[in-house]
Amino acid sequence: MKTYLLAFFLALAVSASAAITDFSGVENIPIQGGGREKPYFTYATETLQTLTGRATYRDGERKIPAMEAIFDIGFHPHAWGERPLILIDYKPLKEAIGLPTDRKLFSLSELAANEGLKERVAEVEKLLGDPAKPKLNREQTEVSEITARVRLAHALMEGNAFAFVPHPSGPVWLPVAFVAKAYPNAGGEAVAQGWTELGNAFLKGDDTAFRSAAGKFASGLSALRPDAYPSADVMKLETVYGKAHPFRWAWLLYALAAIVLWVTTLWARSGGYRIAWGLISIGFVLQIAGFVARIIIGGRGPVTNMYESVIWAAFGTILFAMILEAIYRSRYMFLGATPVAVVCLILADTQTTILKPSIDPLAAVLRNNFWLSTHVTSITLSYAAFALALGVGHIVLGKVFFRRPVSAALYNYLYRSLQIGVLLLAIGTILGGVWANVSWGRFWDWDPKETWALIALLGYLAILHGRIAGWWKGFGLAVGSVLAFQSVLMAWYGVNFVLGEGLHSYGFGTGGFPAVLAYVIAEVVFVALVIARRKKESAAAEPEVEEIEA
Amino acid sequence: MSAHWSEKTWREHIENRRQQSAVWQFIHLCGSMRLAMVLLFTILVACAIATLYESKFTAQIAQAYVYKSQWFIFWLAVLCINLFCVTLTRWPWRPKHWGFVITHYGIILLLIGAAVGQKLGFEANVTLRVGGGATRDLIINRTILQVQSGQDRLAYKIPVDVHIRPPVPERPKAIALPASKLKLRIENYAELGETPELVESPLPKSGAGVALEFSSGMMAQSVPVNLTRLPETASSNDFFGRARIELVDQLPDRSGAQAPDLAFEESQMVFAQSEPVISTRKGKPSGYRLALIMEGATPQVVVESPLSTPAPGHGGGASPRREMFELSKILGKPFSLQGEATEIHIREYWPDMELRDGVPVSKSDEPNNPAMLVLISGQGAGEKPLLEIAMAEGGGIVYQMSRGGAVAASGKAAVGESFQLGWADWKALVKQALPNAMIRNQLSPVDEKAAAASGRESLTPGIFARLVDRQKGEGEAEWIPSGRGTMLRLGDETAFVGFGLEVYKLPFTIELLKFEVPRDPGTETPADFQSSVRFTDSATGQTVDSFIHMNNPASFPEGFWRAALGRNFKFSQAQWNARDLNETTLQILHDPGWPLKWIGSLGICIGIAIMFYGKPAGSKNRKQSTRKSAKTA
Repeated sequence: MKTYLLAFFLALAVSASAAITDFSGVENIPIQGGGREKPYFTYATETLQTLTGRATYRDGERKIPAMEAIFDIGFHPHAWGERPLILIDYKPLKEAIGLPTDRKLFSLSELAANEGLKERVAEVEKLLGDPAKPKLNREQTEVSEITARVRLAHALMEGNAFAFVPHPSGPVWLPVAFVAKAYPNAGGEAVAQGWTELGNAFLKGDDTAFRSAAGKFASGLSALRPDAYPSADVMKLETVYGKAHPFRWAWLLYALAAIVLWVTTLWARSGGYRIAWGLISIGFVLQIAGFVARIIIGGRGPVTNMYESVIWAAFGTILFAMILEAIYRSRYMFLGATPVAVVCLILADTQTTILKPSIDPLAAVLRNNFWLSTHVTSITLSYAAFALALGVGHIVLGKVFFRRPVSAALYNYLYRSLQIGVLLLAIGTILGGVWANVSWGRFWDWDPKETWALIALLGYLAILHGRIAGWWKGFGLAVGSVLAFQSVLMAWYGVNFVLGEGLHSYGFGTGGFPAVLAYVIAEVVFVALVIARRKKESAAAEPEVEEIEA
Repeated sequence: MSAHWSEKTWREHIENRRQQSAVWQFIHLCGSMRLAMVLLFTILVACAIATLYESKFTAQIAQAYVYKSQWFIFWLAVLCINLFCVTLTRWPWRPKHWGFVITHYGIILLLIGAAVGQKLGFEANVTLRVGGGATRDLIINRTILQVQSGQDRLAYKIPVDVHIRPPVPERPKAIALPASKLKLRIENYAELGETPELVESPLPKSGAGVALEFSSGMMAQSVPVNLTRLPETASSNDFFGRARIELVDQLPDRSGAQAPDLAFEESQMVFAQSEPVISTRKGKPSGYRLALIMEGATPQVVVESPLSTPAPGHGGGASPRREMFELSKILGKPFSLQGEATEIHIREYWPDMELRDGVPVSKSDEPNNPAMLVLISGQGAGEKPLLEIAMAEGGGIVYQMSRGGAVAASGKAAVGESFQLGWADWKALVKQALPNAMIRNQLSPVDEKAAAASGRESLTPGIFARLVDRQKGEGEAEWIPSGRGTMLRLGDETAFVGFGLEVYKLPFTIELLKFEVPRDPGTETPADFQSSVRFTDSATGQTVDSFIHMNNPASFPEGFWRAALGRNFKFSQAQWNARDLNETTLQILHDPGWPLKWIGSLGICIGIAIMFYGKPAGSKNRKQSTRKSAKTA
């Protein structure tokens, strides 16, 4: 690699002034990274996201797209030693090692000179090498992530990260620099030459030359080992998926639908309702398309990590709302579902360092498509149903707060959502037990995730039973659906991000705790306010929820 | 008959029954919603607290105090009764009750299945190695005592908890020994390490022995050295390759030998701000590089040895050995790096050096131009310092230090005295000097952290226990390490006490033929764990080869009904050892409660579905009314 780079610099004493604008020639070329082959477009986006937390690089006024930035780090490495590149977002760490807390990105040379960071890195390395596998605290986790970022940046600068070349016999792809060694024939020669030309054109900023070099490079690579080369169609699909942002469009449409429903509450109700149906349907189809693309790309079920579970919950919320709307035509299901779905999707769209959208290979224990698809989807669908109940519950509580009448029908919708959730949570939890019996060799062992799923289930059961006993009616259900959702949040987010214990460790992560805690407190305060404002008469006049007797 | 009853007659029937019969009243009480809610809430809160416990302490503690505690199990039993009674109160059941009954009985079956599994089944681990042979021993994660005492001389297994509430001297655990009046008092639990100790030998003619402690203030180290005359191998110590220490019967006469020539000698003028000036006075250049570094106002010396040490970890590359010292601690004191014989002597230090009339002097105390003069000297091979020790008459020892045959120092030291060695600042303390001695490995508690820091491995947990009896008092206490047994005595009574994890013997054997860990391409992340195993049933001679991998356990003995009824042993992949890829740990489950859990689970799901979505008579009206009310919402 170094010799190639040197060649570029000798040939181009002048630094690049113009930038390549057209990356269509390279975006679909497969590259191996993070344990699978993906198009360069995805690789560049994910890599830049890992390094900086963003999908584009801000250089003063100019926004450098990921594909350009990653090539620039590789072809122009010494320009990047001083540029802010490595994300450090955890304030207490920045304070502890004396980095300015108002910045998020730091240059490699800046970090290399930081003694405090060096000490911590050495300490974390030692812990990671410990066979006893001690648990890392928040700061140590951050440090290990920073180390990974720095290593990645170095691998890019040295060219080792550009694993475009399929191994002649094994599964591990090689950096382009090794192509001539791995394929000592005309094919290897052509690829090496294509790469050199690509680099030259990139540094010159010559679009035409870049395109033709990219073509040469791509066709050379695909001819090296056709039997082990991924399909061009799947690569194209992944690039299209990566550029299209179907989930972003979905939340925009859902948000629009919610606004339409709100605005038309008093006039043009039926027209507004139809428009909302249309918007939500399009958003829903986009979500399905997004999931289908992810399933094809990853070759596995739709819900395998926190990011996917959040999107899936939004999907489920809308799905159940559509089903119940198709039966009852009430508007309230949509009004309840859209805000929840929009919040979920916005979180997934923006909080990419906490909810990682990359499609990575699964932990070995999850590699079973049948159980993964049944257990995880039913659990997350139950979360979705409870989220719908949460949305409708808020409408009820809002009405009570503003002392508006609440109809029996509205309570009934709430009850319906809770039913779906309870059924799916029971099924999902039991399926989890059956899977655990297969995979871990026991049905139930009070793993925190198992336990919290049970707690949530018991909580919702208590709410339903209290109503059967006549201790509370619809209003109680609304209060309960808001409060019990906090236990769902604990099972969903808390076990993985706060407790960080147990066997569901493949979903663990960090971040977002203060925000979630603030949300939980806000909900509790809101419920308390509503209860305080509730008139006695309205409690007495509360309509009975439809009787489903047990 | 009840099928013909109207809802009203049915309700009246139940109400009448409750009022007229005390039994039914009791059933209604047991199946009351109030009780159900109390149970639900306590279980819910207890579980929530337990998960916090687990995150704060360990899973075992959470299990011991909540999930597997007596009261929790009692609570679940009460829940079963509650669930059963509530279905009785609805008897005779009407069609609309089916979902309700199936669900509630499903939960009961599930809980009974769990209890059966807990009582009759077990979970265990087995760690297998490729080529490690066939085994039938499974380790169950439960510590037990194995006791042989009393007249019957039978071996008893007694579970003993050392993890949740470990025994400590202030809070010992007393366990009554079966078939005996004796009690075993466990007074401590700790990680044990073996330390050699010099003790008086019970056998005559065992030979003399000394226990010395070598220490160096500079190295902040102290090294115990125990020597005995017999066996021959125990009479000398190669002190990290730096010197030789020998215990002899009598000190040999070495007077008259000449001190050997130094093999090499060089001086280095080392500057903080520029390259050193090296002049070799004799022999070849030493190859040592020294650097003077100012850390603030404190000068530090870095010594780089020409003898490289292998780099830690894989790769096999060598890195130069570097060590750093604070100058003030080594100035004027000759020393060597650990394991090396070359002597390094920092003769002088000038914070602000300048040459005046060809002589270095310090202009000021400010570190403007720090410099030091170092003398480096060493011998050739075979000329390591030799320390010879012999027993002195009337106690203590005599010693003689020589280099290349020439005596450098000699003297006498009593027990408790120490003497200088003349290599760097090492000195030796005579701790024991016994005419008839042996070395015994003594088990003693070790601080885990200190052991880990010193790189010492293979610690064994153990208990500290003694026999006690009301009349006869207390016996001698001993450490009993895990996996071993010890004979404890109290007067003329004895008990053989073993301690360790419980072992379960399978009715067949399992052998690991092959273990593989495929990785995700281009990474070190395991994609799967694949064990090829062989089961052999010696009774029937049946041999089955199975393949166990993630999400795909193997069962033995085979057969559909055995699997369906949980009458087999299931082997699932549990752990692996990243450092030894020939080793895998399997989790073994034997769960006769499995069919009940299965049916119960199925019942719960189907029951809830029927309850919510089943269509008993009259559902059409209901739907219409809902539609109507929806419009008015």
